[in-house]
Amino acid sequence: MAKGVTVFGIIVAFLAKWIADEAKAWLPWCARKFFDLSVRLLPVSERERFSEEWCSHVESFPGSSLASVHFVWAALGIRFFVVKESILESWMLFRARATFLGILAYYSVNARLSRFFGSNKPVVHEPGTEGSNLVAGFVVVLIAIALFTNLFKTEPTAAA
Amino acid sequence: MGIETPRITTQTLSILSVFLTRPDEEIAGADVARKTGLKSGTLYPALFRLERAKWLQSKWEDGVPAELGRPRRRMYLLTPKGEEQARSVCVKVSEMIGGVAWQKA
Repeated sequence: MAKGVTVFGIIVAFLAKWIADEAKAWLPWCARKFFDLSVRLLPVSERERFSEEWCSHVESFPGSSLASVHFVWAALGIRFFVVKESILESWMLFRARATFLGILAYYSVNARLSRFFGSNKPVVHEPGTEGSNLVAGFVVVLIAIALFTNLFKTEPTAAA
Repeated sequence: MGIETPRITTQTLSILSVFLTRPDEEIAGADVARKTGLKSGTLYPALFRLERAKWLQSKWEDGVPAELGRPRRRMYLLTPKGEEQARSVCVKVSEMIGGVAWQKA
């Protein structure tokens, strides 16, 4: 019985040493893979910046090989934030466009209807306001250009 | 456009307190991690949010990696807007905590 326990102990010790050596050998490879994965999870615009920044972070904490696991969470957090920001931006732009089109539609329909049914209000032209329709039209066109082109699109943060 | 005010969590507060102790000093992410004890999984998204909200600004440290013998560090600095906002947030939080502690006492 005692002999069996001794043999079992030796085998377990041998296996433990073997597993520890294997793990130590595989650790840098695993760390590298986690690092690559975290960089791949980042938005494209941020990959170059964070891969260098995180390399310097790893350099600052020697010996903590599996710290790169945390970079996966960091990458997911950054990606989530960028996606949230872009959704918010698209939603705000959509609201602005919808409001503009709504106002435009309201005034167009109103003008059409008053022309069709006739308005009982007398049209009074104030002196000095002859060009006001032209100015208003110009402003409307400017707003339309601003809203329907990429004027409000923010550029992704470039790594300085 | 974008998210103007970052989410204020205890982790964000501890990051801001590091910057508020030395508002004119550029601090690397690794140094912030060392001072706050935050893991990189929490630290970098928080720094990114603060930078997007223009509370922090960042730039690469001077020098070339070949000359430095290591990868360049990204240095973070509190902006005037960030300093003002961070101070007001810290005052609000300390007032809240102080108030509760007073009531309890």
